Formats: sequence, C-alpha cells, structure tokens
Amino acid sequence: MSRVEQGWLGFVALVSAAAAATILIWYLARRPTLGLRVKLFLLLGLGVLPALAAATSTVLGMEATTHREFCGSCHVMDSHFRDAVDPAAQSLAARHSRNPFFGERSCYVCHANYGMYGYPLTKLGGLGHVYEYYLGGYRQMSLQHALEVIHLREPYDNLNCRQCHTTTGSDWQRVPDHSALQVELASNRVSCASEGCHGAAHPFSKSPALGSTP
Amino acid sequence: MTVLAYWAKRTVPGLLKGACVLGLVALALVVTSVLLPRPLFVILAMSVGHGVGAAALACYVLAVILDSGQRTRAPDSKP
Repeated sequence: MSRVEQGWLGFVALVSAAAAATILIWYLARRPTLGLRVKLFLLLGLGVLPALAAATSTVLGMEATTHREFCGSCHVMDSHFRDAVDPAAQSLAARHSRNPFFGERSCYVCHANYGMYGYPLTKLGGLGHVYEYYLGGYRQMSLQHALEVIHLREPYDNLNCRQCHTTTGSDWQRVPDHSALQVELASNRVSCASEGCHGAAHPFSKSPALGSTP
Repeated sequence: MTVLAYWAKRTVPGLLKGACVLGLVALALVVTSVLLPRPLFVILAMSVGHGVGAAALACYVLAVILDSGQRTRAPDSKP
C-alpha cells in the first residue's frame, strides 16, 4: 500500500470518527426527544460512521504491523532494527533490507508465514509477541538480556527464503553445496542461514553456543 | 402502563446515554491507533475498540426496539 493510499485511509478514518463523535456529543449535550430524525442521526453516529472508521483504521493498523518501525518499536528489537537500517551493515538481514522488494517491510517479508493460513497465523504470532512483551516479562528485560534469552519459537523455515530464491534456477543448482543439500534444505534439516552457508541473519544476536540458528 | 412499558420508558434514555459514551470510548481508541500506530494501541483498537463499538451499537438497537414497542403499545394503554 502506497503512502498516498495510507494517507487517504487515515484521513477517512479520522474524519468519520470526528463526525461520529460530534453527533454523540451533540446528543449527550442536548438530549433531544427520540424521534425518527434523532434515531437516524444516532444510527449514523453509532453505526455507519464508526463502522467506516473501524474498517479504515483496521486496514491501516494491519498495514502498520508490516512496517519495520512497528517491529522496532519494542526495545528488545533495537539491535535488529539498527542493523536493518544501517547502510554499512553486512548481515543477511541488513543486505535484504536494502533490497527495494523488502524495503521498509523487511521484518515482515522474511518472517511472515507463507502457508495457506499464513496471514492469520502471522498475526496470531504477532499477538503472542505483544503478550510476551507486556505480560511475559520482555518489557523489563535489558537489551543484552533479551538478546540472550529471546529466540524464535520454531526454527526458521527455508520456505520463506524460497519465496524469492526458488532453488530451481540454474545458478542456484550450479552451487555444489546446494545440490548436495537439496533434500536437507527442503525438509529444514539444514537452514539457509547456517554458519558455513549464508550465515545467521542477525549474527549479533547469536552466542557461540547457538551459532547456526537464524 | 404495564411494568414492561414503564421499564422501557426508564431504560431507553439510559441505554442511549450508555451507547453514546461507549461509542466515544471506541472512537477514541480507533483514533489513537491511527495517530500512534504502536503495537499496544493497534491491538487495543482492533480488539477492545471494536468490542466496545459493537456494544454501543447493540445498546442503540435495543433502545430503538424498546422505544418502538413502547410507542406501539401506548395507544392501547390509554383509557
């Protein structure tokens, strides 16, 4: 969604919310007799306009959750965020973030679930992160402590890499390690982001013991 | 006036007042999520905000139904 579209959606959400609020405050202040006109006005203020505000703000909210700034707004993601926006950084994540296809949505593009129910599953996972942040103790953690104890719940799925790197091109197949590990890569027994392969996506977050987990 | 009609007459203004207050709370949550798209605000708007907004609409619909019933019965209840 372009910034212009987001701007328009935000405008519609705010204007319809303001109009609805005006109607509700007018009713609370005046308390007019409940005739047909007042009922229709209240339907506008409690039904039509709030529904419009809710729909547009939901689309905007869902779009906001895909932006890197959104992921980086929790302090435990500071290092990941700084690395992704650093033009000199050479980590796998930083190099992908500089790619216009990933751009400002680089966290989402790499970490979203791409299965049939990928979108709701990704959003549910995000809700889990928010729960952990506010109620699970992440909020009180120092960044250093967070880097040591917060990890992906499941091993990173190579399928996410293969959304772009299809593994069917001749360039990919020409690499001896690729063809030798084709089965292991397809079954996630070996990660694309392993040490010795393409390296961890966020190497600063890896202790030597964790090494190859992306 | 039957007990139901008396109850409806007393309840409708309260329901509408409650609907308006709930509606304003829901709108405030929605506007906050648009102006400050942080995780907590976005989630609050999409869950609590939508729930409170739906409750406001339900109060309004109930008030309108009670009011309509009251108006329908009113001619019969006159001596």
